Amino acid sequence: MLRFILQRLLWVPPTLIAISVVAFAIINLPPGDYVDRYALQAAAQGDVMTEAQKEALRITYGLDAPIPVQYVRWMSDMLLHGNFGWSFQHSRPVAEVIGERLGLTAILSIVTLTVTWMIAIPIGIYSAVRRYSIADYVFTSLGFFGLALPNFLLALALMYALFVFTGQSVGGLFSSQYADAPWSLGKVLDLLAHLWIPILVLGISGMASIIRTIRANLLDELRAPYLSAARAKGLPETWALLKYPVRHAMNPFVSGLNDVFVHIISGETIVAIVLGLETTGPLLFDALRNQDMFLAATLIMFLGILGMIGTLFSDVLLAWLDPRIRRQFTLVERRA
Amino acid sequence: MAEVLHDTPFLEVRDLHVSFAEGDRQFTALDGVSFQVRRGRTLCLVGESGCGKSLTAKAILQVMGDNARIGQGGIWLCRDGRESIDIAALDPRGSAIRSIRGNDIAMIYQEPMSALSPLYTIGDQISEVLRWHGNTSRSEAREEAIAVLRAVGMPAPEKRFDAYSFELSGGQRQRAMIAMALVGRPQLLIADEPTTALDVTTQAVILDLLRERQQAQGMAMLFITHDLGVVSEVADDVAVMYMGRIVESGPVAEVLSDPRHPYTRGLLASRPSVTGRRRDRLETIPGTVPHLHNRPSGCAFFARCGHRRPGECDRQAPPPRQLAEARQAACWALDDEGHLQAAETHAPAVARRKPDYTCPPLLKVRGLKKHFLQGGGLFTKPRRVRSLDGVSFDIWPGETLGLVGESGCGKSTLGQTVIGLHKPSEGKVFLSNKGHDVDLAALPPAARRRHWRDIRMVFQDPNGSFNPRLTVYDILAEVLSVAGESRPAIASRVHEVMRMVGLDTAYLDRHAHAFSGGQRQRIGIARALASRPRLIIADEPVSALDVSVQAQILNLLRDLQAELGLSYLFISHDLSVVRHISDRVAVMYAGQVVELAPTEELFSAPRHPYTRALLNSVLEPTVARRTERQRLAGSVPDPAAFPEGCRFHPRCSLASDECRRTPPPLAASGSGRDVACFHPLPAAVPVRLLEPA
Ligand SMILES: Nc1ncnc2c1ncn2[C@@H]1O[C@H](COP(=O)(O)OP(=O)(O)OP(=O)(O)O)[C@@H](O)[C@H]1O
Ligand code: SF4
Ligand code: SF4
Ligand SMILES: [Mg+2]
Repeated sequence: MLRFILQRLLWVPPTLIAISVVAFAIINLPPGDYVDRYALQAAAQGDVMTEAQKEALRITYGLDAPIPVQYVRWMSDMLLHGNFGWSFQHSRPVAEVIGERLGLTAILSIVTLTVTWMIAIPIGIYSAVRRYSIADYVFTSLGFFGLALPNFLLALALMYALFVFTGQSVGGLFSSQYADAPWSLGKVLDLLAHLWIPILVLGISGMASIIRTIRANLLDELRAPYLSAARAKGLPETWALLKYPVRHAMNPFVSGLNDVFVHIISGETIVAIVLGLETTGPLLFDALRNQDMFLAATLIMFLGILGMIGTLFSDVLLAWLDPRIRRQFTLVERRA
Repeated sequence: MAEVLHDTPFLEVRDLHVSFAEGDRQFTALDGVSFQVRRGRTLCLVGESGCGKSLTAKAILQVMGDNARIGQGGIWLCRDGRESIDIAALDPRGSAIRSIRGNDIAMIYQEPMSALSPLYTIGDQISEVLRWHGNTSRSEAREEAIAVLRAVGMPAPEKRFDAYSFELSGGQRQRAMIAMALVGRPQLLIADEPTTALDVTTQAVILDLLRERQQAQGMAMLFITHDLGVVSEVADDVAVMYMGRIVESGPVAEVLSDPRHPYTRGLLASRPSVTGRRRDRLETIPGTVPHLHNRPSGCAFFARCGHRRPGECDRQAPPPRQLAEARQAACWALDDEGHLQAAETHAPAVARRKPDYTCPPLLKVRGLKKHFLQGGGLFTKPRRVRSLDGVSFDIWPGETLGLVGESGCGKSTLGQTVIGLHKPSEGKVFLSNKGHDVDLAALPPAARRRHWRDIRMVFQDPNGSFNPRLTVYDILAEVLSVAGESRPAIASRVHEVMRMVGLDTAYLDRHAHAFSGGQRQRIGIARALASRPRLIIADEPVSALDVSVQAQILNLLRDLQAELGLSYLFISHDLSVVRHISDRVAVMYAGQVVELAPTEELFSAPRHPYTRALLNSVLEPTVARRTERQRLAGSVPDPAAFPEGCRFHPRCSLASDECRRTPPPLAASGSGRDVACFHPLPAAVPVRLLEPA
């Protein structure tokens, strides 16, 4: 097992380098750079920049060097000094910009995931075990609804409804008076008061798909002979269900968890934009749009790392859950 | 258990009806089943697939699944010193039935691989029975489970307790399954096809084990099987089941020696035998078991019955008739004495066609090896699995070469390597082509393709080899269109092969999964025939089929051979089938041929100790058997680590020091026979099996 994890970790650095190169290349793909864009914006406000001014700006930002050189500089700064570069758009170090968003994004995503799982998994189990019952029909139809409805529409509808009925704007994660205030009890409570809307919006579609997968997995498992065998041994019904089919149905679910961390950070970008959430999703979106290249590249690389951690996490979890996989590794270890 | 009241009924099933709900329709699956299982005795339930055998077993434990419902009838359980109780009236989720399950009645499932969960150790799954019935502690339960594992002959039971099902061999898995059933000390053991998935040699050992445990614990046993050979080995009483009814029942000797019902007779006649006269064609029961949705009114067997009486049989189902004490049959054609009237139609006796051994062989295989490298990662050395390790033989035009051996001996690898699915590690495969021998193994893939048409393959599970999106027409046309034939030529050939295999051309635009097992195998054969091959490699082509359908397919293969002069390489683990169809037989062990001989000689006087052991394990539906026989202990060696010297020596009773040192070569030993053994058995002495049957 340990050996397996180490082997996987060995692959992380080369993959990371590959991801960073690709991320960097993609951001530099569109013609022009941040300075051009900046000049364009300035021009729109009637403030024409000369070529010399642009060139000076490029030199300050280090954009005059060839792209490979920029890449090497960025990488070595990151590795040697922990410096992720400068965000042109925010005029602050990238690390700072991301840092302040990260905590909130993680809180939002983790709470959403936990709530979704806690509700969806039992419902999925119930739906499968009591197939064709009224509750099953209700859950299944709600599930279809949840899957079919685009999230941002739901978000819009909810905001509109709340505005009409309560007269208050519910976008964002904080009320205006707390947005820039230091953390306090009041701020936490305010966060909680705002949190339920994104949780609901993101949760509903997540739940719908989890209910569907769990129900489908479990329906297959309910036909398996080991359930019948467990009953024939005299096990109580609920115990037999939980110990055999439910446990078996968890495996495909767990192997689908590999991109869970990516989701946690990137979140549902469109929903976040609609709801005005200050999470990392919209941040990346803006960074890409404005060719804020160090910020964008750092974020993409970040997502890459999380993707790899997620895959490792779900593989390890699966190995821990499924002896068939576990024994494969130990076999290899013993022979080595 | 001295005070067990032998022969008194422990379980009595009376007029049991079970139906399935599909949508808002009901389908009857069990239509009035009645039988008794007595203490200390074994009742065998036989019948083709889909007759309701497993369903009966599951009904007894009320574990049928949610869409099944018990209608009329009762399942009476008569435990010692307690009031009789009707299981059919119990709530399937209640505590009353739960205390019976695993405790009074336990069940061995049809497929141990899927009835044991791979996520828990077998020890956990065995000992949980004890933990739920009574308050046994974890460590006591462990002790007891290990004791039971030891009693069922599991090697190293303490270690195996913590093993998972996928780490065990087929025989060990079945032992674990049996231990799981026995650990609660049940008074009735239901065994649903406990040996169907096993090799003959392992089957014999498991049957011995079950009998031994039955005697030790004084259990009653309900034994479900489709194999009449197994019935004769284990049963005291037999009940023959057809479409959810018992059509004939009685003591085993009487039913097998004097079957009264046409269905019982059909089952017995369609089975090839390893003793007795070799017939050119097998008698068959035409057709297959109808689906539940098409249950005929009147006698359910009507459409397939050679004795049927239109106007009588199809109007009303025949009631069971008492023929003698404990002997019943349900058929309108029985006369007043209970004998079947009207003569049976016999299959025409066509003379056996002999292949012409004077012409050169069609296929010559020389020193063929196939080694697989398995596992091995960044830092580990892979295992060299020697699946095929130096095999040589010839097949003549129009000849059938049978290939037998236990599972894992390399039979399938041989077939697949000959046809080119694997690249041989060593050796040559010569195909005679217009007087020249072409070495297929040495040809580059493109050149090989031209010879694809000459050698075709038929698989065990044709369904697995059919693309579910293709129609039968597409399946049959595929090889022809790859070969670039014109559309009209393809169409006429497709129709032709459909007629050859006896299928209606109206089926051509259906999808393969809509067919029964036997029909699918006909499609598989038609597909192989389409390109006009000269050799067909058939890998277990009838193993998944019921005896009656198996007989139909075997007859078809015979007819096609006579008509087209085909050669077959016929791979099977079933010796009676191989004896029936083959001109010569090769016996494989551990990747090598150990004996090769003309069929009659091989079966009447095997010379290799392994061949004899295989023959000794075969069960035949003859009465007056159950003599003590020598069992083949141990199992097939690991193909990555064969023993030194003769690979059979750890299991051979004749092994000498020489055998342990030097591998015996395959050498001619007279009358066209090759044997690889230093101490072959004498050619003259027949085995016990050949006593006149
Ligand atoms: N859950 C179910 N729903 C509908 N039909 C079913 C169900 N289970 C079994 N059947 C049908 O009931 C009939 C009897 O099935 P059963 O499994 O008892 O056959 P069997 O005699 O044990 O066959 P085999 O030899 O293949 O094991 C079959 O026609 C089968 O298709
Ligand atoms: S009742 Fe008629 S159809 Fe049925 S088995 Fe007897 S003879 Fe055949
Ligand atoms: S060579 Fe020896 S060990 Fe091998 S089969 Fe013959 S007698 Fe047995
Ligand atoms: Mg069955």
